[in-house]
Amino acid sequence: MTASVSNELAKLVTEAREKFDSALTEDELNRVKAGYLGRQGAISALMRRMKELSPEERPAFGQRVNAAKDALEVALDRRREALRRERIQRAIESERMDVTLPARGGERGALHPLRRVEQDLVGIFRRLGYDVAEGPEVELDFHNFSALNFPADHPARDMQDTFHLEGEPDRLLRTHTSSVQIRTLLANQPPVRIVAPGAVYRSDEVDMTHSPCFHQIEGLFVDRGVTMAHLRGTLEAFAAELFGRSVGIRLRPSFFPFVEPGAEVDVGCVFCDGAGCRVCGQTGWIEILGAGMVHPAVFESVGLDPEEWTGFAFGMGIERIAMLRYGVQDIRLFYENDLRFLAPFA
Amino acid sequence: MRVSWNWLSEFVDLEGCEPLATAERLSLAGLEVEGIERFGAGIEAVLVARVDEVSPHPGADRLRLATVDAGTHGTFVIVCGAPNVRPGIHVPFAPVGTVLPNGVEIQAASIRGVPSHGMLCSADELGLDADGEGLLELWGAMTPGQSLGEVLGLPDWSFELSLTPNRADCHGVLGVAREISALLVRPLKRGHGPVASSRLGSPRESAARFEVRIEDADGCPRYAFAVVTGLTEGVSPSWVQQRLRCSGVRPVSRIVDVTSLAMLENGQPLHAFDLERLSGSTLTVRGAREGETMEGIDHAVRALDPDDLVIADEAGPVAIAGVMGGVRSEVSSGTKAVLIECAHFAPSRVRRAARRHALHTEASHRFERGVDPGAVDRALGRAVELLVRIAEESGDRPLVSGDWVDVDRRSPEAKRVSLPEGFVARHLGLEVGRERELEILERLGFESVDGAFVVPSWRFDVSRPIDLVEEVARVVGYDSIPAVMPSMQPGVAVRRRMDAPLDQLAQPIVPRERLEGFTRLRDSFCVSGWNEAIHPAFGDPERQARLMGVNEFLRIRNPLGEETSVLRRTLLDGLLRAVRHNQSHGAERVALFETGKVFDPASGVPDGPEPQHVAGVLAGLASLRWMEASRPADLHDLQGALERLGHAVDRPIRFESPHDIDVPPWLHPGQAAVVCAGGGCVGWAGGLHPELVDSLDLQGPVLAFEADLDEWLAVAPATRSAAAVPRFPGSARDCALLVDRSLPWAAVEQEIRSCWHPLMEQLRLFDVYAGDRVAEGRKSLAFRILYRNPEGTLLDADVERIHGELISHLERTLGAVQR
Ligand SMILES: [Zn+2]
Repeated sequence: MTASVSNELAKLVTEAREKFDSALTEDELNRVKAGYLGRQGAISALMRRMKELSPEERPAFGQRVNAAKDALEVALDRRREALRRERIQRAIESERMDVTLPARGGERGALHPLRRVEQDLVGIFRRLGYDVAEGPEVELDFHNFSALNFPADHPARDMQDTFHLEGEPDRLLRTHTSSVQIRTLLANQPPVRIVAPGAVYRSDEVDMTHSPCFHQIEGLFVDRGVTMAHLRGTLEAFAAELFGRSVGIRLRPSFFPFVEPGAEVDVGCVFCDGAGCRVCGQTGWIEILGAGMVHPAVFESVGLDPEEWTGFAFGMGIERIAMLRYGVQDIRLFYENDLRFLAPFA
Repeated sequence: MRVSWNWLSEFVDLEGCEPLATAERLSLAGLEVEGIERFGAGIEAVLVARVDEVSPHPGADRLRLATVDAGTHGTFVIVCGAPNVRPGIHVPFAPVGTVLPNGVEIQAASIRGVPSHGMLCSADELGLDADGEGLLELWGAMTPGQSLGEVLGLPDWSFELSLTPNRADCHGVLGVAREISALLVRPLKRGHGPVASSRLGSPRESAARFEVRIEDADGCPRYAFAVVTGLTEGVSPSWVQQRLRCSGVRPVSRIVDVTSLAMLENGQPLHAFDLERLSGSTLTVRGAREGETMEGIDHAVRALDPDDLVIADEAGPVAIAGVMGGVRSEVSSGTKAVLIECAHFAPSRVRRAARRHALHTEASHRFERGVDPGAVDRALGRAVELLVRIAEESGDRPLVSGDWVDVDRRSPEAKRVSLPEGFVARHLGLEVGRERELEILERLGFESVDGAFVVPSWRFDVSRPIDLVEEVARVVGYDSIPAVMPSMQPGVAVRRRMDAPLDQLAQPIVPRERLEGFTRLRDSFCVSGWNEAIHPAFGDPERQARLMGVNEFLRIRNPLGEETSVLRRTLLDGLLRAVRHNQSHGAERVALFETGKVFDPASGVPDGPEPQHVAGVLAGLASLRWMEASRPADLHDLQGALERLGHAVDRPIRFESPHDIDVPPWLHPGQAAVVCAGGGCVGWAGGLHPELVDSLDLQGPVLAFEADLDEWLAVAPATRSAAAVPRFPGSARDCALLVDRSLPWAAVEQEIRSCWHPLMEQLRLFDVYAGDRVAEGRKSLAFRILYRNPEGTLLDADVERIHGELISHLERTLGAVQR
């Protein structure tokens, strides 16, 4: 009896080991395992036959069954680990992908080059402590001209060919962002320092460098004791920020009715470092803005005392700077919104 | 304006000055020299020769043999092909060995068997006038053998000045000379003062033959004229012609050229009337009468306006003052006597007339900017002197009559401006020093009298102390002003003026929050793969009307074209044009957005608000990436981008059916969604109307949206607070409802929300199906509701009961059937 049960146990172990090793998946292995080690499995069935043995034989038999069980568990773990590794290996093989294919989503659109320049310019002046101001594009003659010391019937108005509104002699499309100077000074108590970006309109004929609509950014700094030296200091700091390095600036006397003294401002050509090239017309200088000290007539027209307040103002064309910075030859490209033109600005 | 270097040197000592360096100095003082031209370089060896005899060339029909007298240099026979060669004329002669400006060296040569000893030259060959064909005929007093340069006043430089409107005083050689004298500290020569011409007596207010009556002294404070008789009109001497060419003016004839010379020199326009063609004996300066017309020297007949100031004789207007003369009294080849007008007209009066008649002449250009009223007599004296000299040089016996009239109604007061000590430094941030200031201003003609400066009559632009500051700054050079960074306390708070002169003026300063909102909005678009467009605010009224269904626009009085004649009311006009443009260039996917102002005439108030809009168009493929490359964009792509946008600006949006609101004409009536933020509607989104896709020649599908950014950003931003993390497990129930195909999801959602139970936590739509597997006209909406008891264990029985009640409610209210 003992011998037959023992034989049976040995046979069972051998048979289970073979079946474990021949299981091809972890699921199959679990099913095979249940046939031997589960509650209804062969080992449990053998244990139940222990009552057939004499009480003396039982402990030894129990120990042998337990040893056989332990051995099977070890075999099972080994096989399970092997199968798991095989599965991982298969996954690695089967899940190979071409990592060089383009991703899903993730395409970035372009910010318009004029916006990039505007944001950079506004950013520079915000870091210098300036507020941002804005005004309407349909302006009153007062804000655009007369308060800025452009008398009626004066040739200074010819410098800026104006679009007028039909049936409303006092309304026009602003010819410059300088109108925002007037609005700012009318509304706020100095000291003020603002920059005002925006669209402006002039009835110029369209060509490579002229558009009836373009963009400017205006600056105004009013306080007690502001001098032209402060204007120069500010513009030098601005130019260094804009071009990322110290560039020389040059002020040349010029005329804008709302400033006195007035200046046109050149920066040292960043393309040739002043040696002279095609971009700067061999002069070594590039004109980028107009500036000057706020004219006392402007203070008077907004009801401020020019004896108490002084200030400077400056203005520049955003297109002009974008053309220089990005090498754009024809201003009309900015308004065509051709995706091929915009693409590099993503 | 162009100005000749040699002419300048007649008024200011330029000995040792270098023209290029002088030009640079002028530019840096505000008289921008835009270009410099050299005249007569390389003609030093060219002589004047007189043609004495012309005979045919024995071997060539087109060539002739000219025997020329070159004075002490001898007599030469030259082979010449020019058609205008004839005995008696004086011409430029380049002897053998001369190298012409174009590089050609004259050699002794035999032309068709006849030896030629030099060359007779055209203006073109001498580099003087590119249009000058044929031999350059020389006029005026000269002797054979004289150097051509000496006769023509060459070599010379011509500066092209770009003058700003304030520098009216530099519209004449004399003004520029004054400027150079101050800048380079060079003395002016004697000739800059009044002309002491013995030919002119003392002026009178009336004269024997003619008198002038000024009816409008505001328009004409000073009127002078002189009469010269005994003239024959003809070609001007060559030196006059050359001087005019160096000044950028084409020579015409003696009398006209003389008025040009006097104007170019003094900046004072003059006008010559043919004395014999004037009627009566009185010239009247007056406003034009109702119904009067005048035929100008350009042969255009103009109806005159009562605001036009005219010069009239007894037969009517003979000139629009300061703008243009009339053809009736125009100087012509038969003119024997002239009345030369030299007057001062009010700038704004001339400007209005010039603009009214769309005329821009050398005279009106100068008068508009301001002509020195103190120089009337000088300019007139100069014109008479030149006219007499030139007439005599041309063989006439001119006679200056006693009729020199000068009616001067100017206010005798000269402008005075004071310049307090310290004023210059206070504005420039540079100590110039009182002595230096005085010296600079005096050199510029400002006389210091009793602590103030008398403004010279030619400086219209100076009336305030600050103007003197600019004068000082120009002369010391802007480059001597130091660079100082203003002190910058961060964040000076914006303070509204308590004394604001205008009530309720909109605050131009943009709040930081709004600025950053705009930046985030644009970033969000770019991250979603959209590109920013910028269009001018001009609109085509016809297209705008089609998009918006309105016909009222802010119209431009002087548009560049019909398609840019109004201000836009929608940004979609420009964007759809850009779609068309890009599709016509092969773009498979167009995603463009724009922010910008729109203009509503109904806002009425002249200073009304300009709403800031944001709009976008999406056309063609949803994505250009390979895995989605064939999927056309649809409304859901657009809505996704808009939702991201809402989150970017922290004002989330939702979409609603339009119900009974009118849908804008640009929208597809079956694909129109109201964009809502906060409690209200901020815009529209949807498919573009198929009619527009068709008529604008677009390739569909095209999705579009437009929203009012001001209203959107005015919505209160999303608020945030922490939520408790649930500790008990939840349980989900799915449900697929068959409903009418036209029933919007929002209606289903609203019904579910209407019987929302405290144990319900979340609702999520996960499938929409309308196809073969459901009945015609029906669709299946599958959603999942997550149930959870936040305070304890969820009982299955409760969930079953609540969910069952929900389903029966939906079946009852929506006519739905659970699948
Ligand atoms: Zn350069």
